[in-house]
Amino acid sequence: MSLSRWLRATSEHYLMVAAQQQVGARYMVPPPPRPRGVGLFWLKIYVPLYRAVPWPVRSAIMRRLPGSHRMTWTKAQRPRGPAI
Amino acid sequence: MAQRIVVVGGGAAGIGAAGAAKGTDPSADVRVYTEFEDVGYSPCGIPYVHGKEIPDFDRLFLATKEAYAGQGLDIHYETSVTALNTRDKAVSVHGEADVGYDKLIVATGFDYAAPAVPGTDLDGLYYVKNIRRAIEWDKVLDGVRTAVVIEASPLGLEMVTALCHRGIETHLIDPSAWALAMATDPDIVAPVQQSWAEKGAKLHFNTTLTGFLGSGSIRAVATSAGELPCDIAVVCTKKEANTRLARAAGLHIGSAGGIIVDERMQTSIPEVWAAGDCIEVPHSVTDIPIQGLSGSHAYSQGKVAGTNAAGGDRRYQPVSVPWGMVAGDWMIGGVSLSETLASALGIPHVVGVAEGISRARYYPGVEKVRVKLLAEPGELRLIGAQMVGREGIKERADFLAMAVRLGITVADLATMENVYSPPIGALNEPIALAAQNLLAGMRS
Repeated sequence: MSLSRWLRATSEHYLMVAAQQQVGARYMVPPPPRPRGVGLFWLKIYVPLYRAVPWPVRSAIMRRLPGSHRMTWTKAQRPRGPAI
Repeated sequence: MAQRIVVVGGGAAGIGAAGAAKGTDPSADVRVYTEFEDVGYSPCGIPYVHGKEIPDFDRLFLATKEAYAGQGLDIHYETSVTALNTRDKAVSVHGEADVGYDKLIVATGFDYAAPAVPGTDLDGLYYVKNIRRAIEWDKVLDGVRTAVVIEASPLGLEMVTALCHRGIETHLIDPSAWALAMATDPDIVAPVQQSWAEKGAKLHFNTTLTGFLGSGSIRAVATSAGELPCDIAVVCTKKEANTRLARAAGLHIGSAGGIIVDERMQTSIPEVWAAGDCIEVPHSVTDIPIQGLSGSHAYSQGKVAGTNAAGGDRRYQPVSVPWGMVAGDWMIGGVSLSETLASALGIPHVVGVAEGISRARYYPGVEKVRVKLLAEPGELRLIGAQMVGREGIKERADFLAMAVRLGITVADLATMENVYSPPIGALNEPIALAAQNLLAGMRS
């Protein structure tokens, strides 16, 4: 597994754990168990740091990862004015 | 001289690509290689045969082998491609000489994420994918008393429902806090979980798989909460892109694990296209590449790849991901982001929820429809939706996917026109009600 893929998969996992704790509490659902070991670093250090960074900056960092999003995707042109 | 277009893979993307290539250039020599016995069937229907909603597997086949031959498609069944030699423009075929190509389409699909636990070599582990194996497993299910479904993925939800319909004592284990947690919210999936429980299913959330136990054949599943005795385990883990051949050939792979493609399904190597579960495409709201979408996505991607490989011009677009399914006694569905996923990514959003009805209040068969809308807090453009009900979910998901694509706002939805006809539509459309509630919440 490449570094970018590992980073993305691990990041997604712990961000989802944190989100389930947060959203689950709102809907009174038992939260996931607290991770142990290195998982605590991801949950207690990485997730708060991630959330502290403004979305435009996070988005820009994510867009730098290799992926299809960096290829050509032409935005469809929408016609203007009345149809008839 | 006719161009030769080779397609590796005979699933939805591969067959879509082959058919589109032949339609674009009828003179082309279109060859499809599949390691399996069949092409052109709906694996999505397999759970419904297991659950006895569909009476037999024959109905899942879209066309006969003779029909594909009649269309001019040269399909090589049970024939594995072992390597892609993009420098010499040839594919290595097991047991045969190398096959040269002018254009190559990679449609190698997916593998289930292998559980990294002991015991995966035991008999009694069922991975739902191949229809011939499904036919064999369906006979096995006749003698099964207890089954464990590993993970509440979309397939997992369908298999829990199917096994319950079959009268099998069904356990579901998942490390997340609720079913389908990657795509949906707890309030949306709660009725599904309730209906499973009413059918006797045992749900074990926040529970991690630690191993498969047995001697030769499975006798139990080991979890973080203890052992669950069972006759079979249905493994419904995440679909991962099958990129072995592509990676070895030097095609670029992205952070989502899929082959990198552009809007024409062109890969990083000239004259090579790719489509289906083996690729990744950008999400229309976040621009983040994602992988492992539905059969309809794979089929349409295949048609784009096939058209372009044959000399046509067709473009694909970033995806908004409408989804929907029957789970338990309910239909659930959504578009793009859930509240949970938006929170995980840290995407600013506002939420509006409403519970409406599917028909006129007085009309027989009227059902509740719960709609949740997510919007960005600035212009209030729709960025996601979640729904649960007993009818009308798929149509709403399709509509809201287009709304997300076009940048339609919550204000647009709050004032939308809707069909009112007692048997098929209520006076107040639940989507409009959710939008109105969102706006009211922002004013208060």
